[in-house]
Amino acid sequence: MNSRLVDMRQQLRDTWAHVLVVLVLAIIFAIALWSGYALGTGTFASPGTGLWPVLASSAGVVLSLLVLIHHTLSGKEKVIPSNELFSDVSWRKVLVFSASVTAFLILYSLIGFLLSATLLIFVLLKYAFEARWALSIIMSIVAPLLLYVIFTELLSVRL
Amino acid sequence: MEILDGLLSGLSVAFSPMNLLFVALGVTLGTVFGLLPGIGPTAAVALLLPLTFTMEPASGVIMLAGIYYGSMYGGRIPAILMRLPGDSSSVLTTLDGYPLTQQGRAGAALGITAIGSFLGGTVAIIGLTILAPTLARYASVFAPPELFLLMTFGLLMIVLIASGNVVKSIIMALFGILIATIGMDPITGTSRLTFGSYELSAGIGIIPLAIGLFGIGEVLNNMASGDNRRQSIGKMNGVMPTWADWVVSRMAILRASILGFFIGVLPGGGGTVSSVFAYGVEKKLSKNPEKFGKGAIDGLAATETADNASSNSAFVPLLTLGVPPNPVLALIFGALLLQNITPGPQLVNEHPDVFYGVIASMYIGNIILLLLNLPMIRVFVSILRIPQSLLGPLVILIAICGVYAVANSMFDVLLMMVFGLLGFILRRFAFDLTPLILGFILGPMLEVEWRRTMIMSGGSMDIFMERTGSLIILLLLLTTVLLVAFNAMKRRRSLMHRVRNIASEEM
Repeated sequence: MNSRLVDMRQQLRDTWAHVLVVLVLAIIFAIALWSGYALGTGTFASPGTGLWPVLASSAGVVLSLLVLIHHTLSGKEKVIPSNELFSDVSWRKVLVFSASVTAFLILYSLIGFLLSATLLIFVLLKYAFEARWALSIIMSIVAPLLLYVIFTELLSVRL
Repeated sequence: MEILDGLLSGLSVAFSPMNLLFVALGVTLGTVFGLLPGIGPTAAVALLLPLTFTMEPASGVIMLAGIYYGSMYGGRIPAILMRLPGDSSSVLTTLDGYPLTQQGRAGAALGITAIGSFLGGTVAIIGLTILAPTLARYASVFAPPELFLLMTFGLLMIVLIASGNVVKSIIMALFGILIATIGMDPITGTSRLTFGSYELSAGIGIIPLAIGLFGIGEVLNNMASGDNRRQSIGKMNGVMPTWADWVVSRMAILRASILGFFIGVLPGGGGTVSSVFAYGVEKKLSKNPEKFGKGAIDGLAATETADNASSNSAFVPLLTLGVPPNPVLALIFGALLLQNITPGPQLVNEHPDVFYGVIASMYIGNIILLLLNLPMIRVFVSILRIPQSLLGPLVILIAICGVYAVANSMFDVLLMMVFGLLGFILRRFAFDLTPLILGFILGPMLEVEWRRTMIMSGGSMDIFMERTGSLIILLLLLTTVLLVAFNAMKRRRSLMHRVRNIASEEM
């Protein structure tokens, strides 16, 4: 495809997935709006705790809805194919990242920083960044150990 | 006289052995992080922010400032040698820098940009020394209505300039403001938007948010797109430009220094905007505009000079008005807040050591950077050989330790990871993260000034039009919004039109 066209499409990016992101943001703004109201808004002269979140989130809801309505009316998805956005993304790597970080957060309280960080770095290096075995093993031992020494000995942080 | 006295006291702060060490460390780390592909200045400052907590406020900011302008120097190296821009402001550097490398003139390109960066930076620091205290003096009379409008103006400028899609940027700024409301109400102390979570009642910190969005988000983006290849690095001979190079570039460097300084002072104006502007001006004035994009050394010198000049002058709105003009300065703003120092018109009176110490340290930092970037350039170039696959996990581990160190909280690490995923997704959908972080930083202050204004006026909005200062800012704000919004709409319409034309030609 014409590279100029790809560049321009990248700039526009009004795809169904993009609209989904705006929709999620609209829902978050709506929840905040509701919570803000529940806290009490008061008046401008005597603002309640919820006034500021209500002001910010109501503007967010209105603008998100504007984007959604604009998208529905203009039908831009016909101009920009939606499958181009993530064509270069390896979802397996994103999954490996998410799973290994979750495992790290759970294991940290059970086996401590050094072991859990070693496992995390090894999995990330080998399966997300696709490094060689030897490099993955060496780095996953050396890097956590080095940072452990820096943080605990030099910066007095208990890891 | 007052400025000279201030500068002298600042030099005594900057020349203390510890601060000299911190400025040297800052610019060196900044250069290294700036040249590592995939880690821009924002990620660099975010990752190293936790290190400054135990320091004196002046030392912490001196180091962070050094990291910032050091990374501007560093960013040009992969842009010239590998056509790999570290951040958006280095994109223009690749246009003429890489062709010069292909012509076997990488050394001259690196040399002239180091000299240009030094001169641009120095001109901007002199401007900063003169302008900042004067502006702070005028701004010190501002009351809550003016401060509220000024911060709104700063945020809106960033929203309007940062991205092509204005509505999406405003949504991001509002999202940032909303995230900042989580936790305690700054005036009554009541919990809000915490949904019963004990951890959230303390609010969301700048560190997990910034490191997540910019550090982890960037690593994820590089990792997921499989960009782990080791790219070839252009060959480099000596690093001194020829006399002819200097003659061609000297006026471009002078113009870009001045232009970069003034653009950098405007919110959202630093970095990319100043580079684009300076490049455009030089192309217009050049006797050989056809050379631009094919290795014009004056074009290259102009972009890098303006880039560095603007990164130094960007401290003007932060130190004098309390408005951070870009994400890096928003992080430095956050670092000051964590040290119980509020940047703004009162900074010069309340914390002159920080105000003048940072300015004075920039003179020193700039000289160190010139020394690092001429004789020692080969050392930095060798760092480019570190594969991306090694850097990513290291950045993640440093981020975990850094975030944990701030409050000994694994919940903060979890938050950082969540924001990392969020940053990755938003970046993929071309949502600019700059308004988000600035909304987050400015949100609490906007709220406080808004509430103070409303209490002053008894809830009437007329107060903004009754006071001369606020009326001027309001008119300036409205004019800018209308102008930029009109231009953005025109640009988008023409882009859509061109896409349709090309698409129909292809069918």
